Amino acid sequence: MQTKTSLKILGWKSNNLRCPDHSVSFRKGEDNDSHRISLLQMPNGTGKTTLWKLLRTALSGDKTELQDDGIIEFKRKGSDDDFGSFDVSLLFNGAMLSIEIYFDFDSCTVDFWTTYSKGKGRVQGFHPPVEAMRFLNNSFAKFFIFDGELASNFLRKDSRKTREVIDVISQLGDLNNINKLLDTYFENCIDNCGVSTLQGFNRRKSAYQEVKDTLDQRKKELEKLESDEKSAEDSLDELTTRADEYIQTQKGIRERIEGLEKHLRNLDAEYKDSENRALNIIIQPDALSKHFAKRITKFCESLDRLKLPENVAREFFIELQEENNCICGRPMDKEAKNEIKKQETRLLGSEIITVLNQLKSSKLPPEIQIFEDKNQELKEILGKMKENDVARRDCSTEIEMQKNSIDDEDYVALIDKKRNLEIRIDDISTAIDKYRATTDSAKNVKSTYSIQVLEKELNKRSKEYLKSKEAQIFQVKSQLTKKLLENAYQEAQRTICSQITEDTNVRIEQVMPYNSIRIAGIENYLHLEGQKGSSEGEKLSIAYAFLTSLFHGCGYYLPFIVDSPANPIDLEKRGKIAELVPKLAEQFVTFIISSERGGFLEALEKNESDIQYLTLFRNNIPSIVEKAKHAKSYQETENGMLVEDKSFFWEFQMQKEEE
Amino acid sequence: MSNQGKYFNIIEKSIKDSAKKYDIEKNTVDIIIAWLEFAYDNPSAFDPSVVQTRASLIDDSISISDVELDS
Repeated sequence: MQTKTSLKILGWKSNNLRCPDHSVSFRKGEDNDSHRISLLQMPNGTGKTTLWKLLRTALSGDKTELQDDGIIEFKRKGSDDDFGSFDVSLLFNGAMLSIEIYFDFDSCTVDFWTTYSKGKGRVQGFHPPVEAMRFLNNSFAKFFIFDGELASNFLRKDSRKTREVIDVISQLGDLNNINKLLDTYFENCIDNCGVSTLQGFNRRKSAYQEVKDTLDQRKKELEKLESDEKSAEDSLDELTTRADEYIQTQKGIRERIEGLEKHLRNLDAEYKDSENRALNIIIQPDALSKHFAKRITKFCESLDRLKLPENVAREFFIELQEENNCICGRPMDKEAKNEIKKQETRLLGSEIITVLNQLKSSKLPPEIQIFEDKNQELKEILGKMKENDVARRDCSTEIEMQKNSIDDEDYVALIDKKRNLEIRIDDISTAIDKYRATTDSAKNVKSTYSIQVLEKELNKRSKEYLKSKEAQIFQVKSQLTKKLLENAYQEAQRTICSQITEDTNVRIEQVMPYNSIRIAGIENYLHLEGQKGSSEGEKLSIAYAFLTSLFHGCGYYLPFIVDSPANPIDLEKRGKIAELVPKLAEQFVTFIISSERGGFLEALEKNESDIQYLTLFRNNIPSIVEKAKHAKSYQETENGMLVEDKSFFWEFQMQKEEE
Repeated sequence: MSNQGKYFNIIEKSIKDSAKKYDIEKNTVDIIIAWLEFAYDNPSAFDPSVVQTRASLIDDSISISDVELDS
């Protein structure tokens, strides 16, 4: 079952401070329950302001107010003791909690001591349980330890107190705090990434994408090239195999051709030999025919007789040129001489003369057997030559036929194709080298082919991009949470303010039924409807109505401590305020002076039966002290008296207070 | 557990409504509300270590698509 967080003030004890030493208890009976309303009547000059500050310090843990005033100022006048203390007893969620302010006037220092029944005993410092820290702090405490100044601030346009108190009590402030802290968290995250702008992110993203696209493109291109290279190599292998196979199949033909050609060469050699032998026979015609031999012999005898040609010939031509007339009868002129000389050279240098000389010197075979042998030999040679010629033609024909059987055109085409493929593979390999290179002199990414270079660049840009992407993600998250929480804050604030306005107006109407003052709305302050100003009493009435409405909606049972709750309020309106007071909180503690009682106490008593009447005063007026000693309950210290008695409370009046 | 009163309920509803408006995941909303609930009676709710933990949880609970990133 859910229970509201509850805080009650059970009392306090003051020692050696400016207010009279006293120990006040708001307990009701023996248990830890407190009175619903405790009225602490203190005449002016009793140290009410001091007590107020001590209370606010003890319940906020903030000693600034004490230090600002000067620690020594809190020391009881005339005291020789260097120490003082103020100890507030609280009941928090059913457990005892004590906050003690300890003054060292010698060193002018002040310290807190905390005792919590569920804690570690008495410890130095301000250490209430964490659950109580929500309202036992400087921001919150001032709203339940309430003074008239705050009431005015709720209505001042230049004050943010209204918004502040709503934020603190409704947890809107926590929501706002979460928003700010998340903003800081994401800002730090973005700072750690080193990039904060959308432009920076887009620039890095484009730079990364450019390399990535180029790298993907290059990888595809390389894959295609490698595929082409493999395909070309496979084709080359196939062509090489085909060429080898082709060469293998053509080997027999070629060997056959070579054999035929060798045979042909042998036939040619034999033919040539036969031819030479035949010619050697033919150049001796006298050996082939006796008729021809006789005629040659006769011719040679004639030459001998004429002493021709070598011995006579030259003298003949020389002598002829010296004659007056040629042997033909023509005069031997210069032209005839030149002609003879010319013919002499031709005739004497010709083969005819040589042949003639050889004929003259040769000895012709005289026997018929020789002619028959030579003829037979020549016939055999010529017959062999004829056979050889047929064999040579047949061999040539065979060689031609064998050559024709080779399909040279296909083979050349095959070799051409192979050569083209080799060139293509070289080209592809050169291209692939660019992709596989470890360096690249290209001036920009798009012109770069080296995959290694592109991968390095991608890695570099990827890191930058991822950082900027991460930063951008944080940016978007930050914007998103900011929108979420700001929107939620505005919506919640609008709803809460609207409800508080409505509730407050209902309460204002109860307090001031004949007054037209109403709240038009809540901005940073309470915006009054058509109202330019209001009296102090009206301000306080509105503030009570507002705070009552505000506290009504929160999840705490807190005491409400008010200084002079009705002092500035017109007498006729005090009753209405008194009607409102019991609704303000579970426990209402107020500091009051005797002049406030009128119009307030009567109405209060009508609306609440559980009222505690306390009067604290300095014991320097004997008549009052004497009277106090007849009260229902009292305690007297060295410099003051605390009386708990309704009648005494009602009747208490001091001259000093009236002043 | 404490009863945090009607203001807390109003704030909780506003966060949920706002989350619907901006299409924010329930998990994120739950973490924020839990933080707020924790802050109700824990002043340490805004201590640096707690903030870091809670903010990280919120951070992790939000997923941003590339489309959102480019928009």
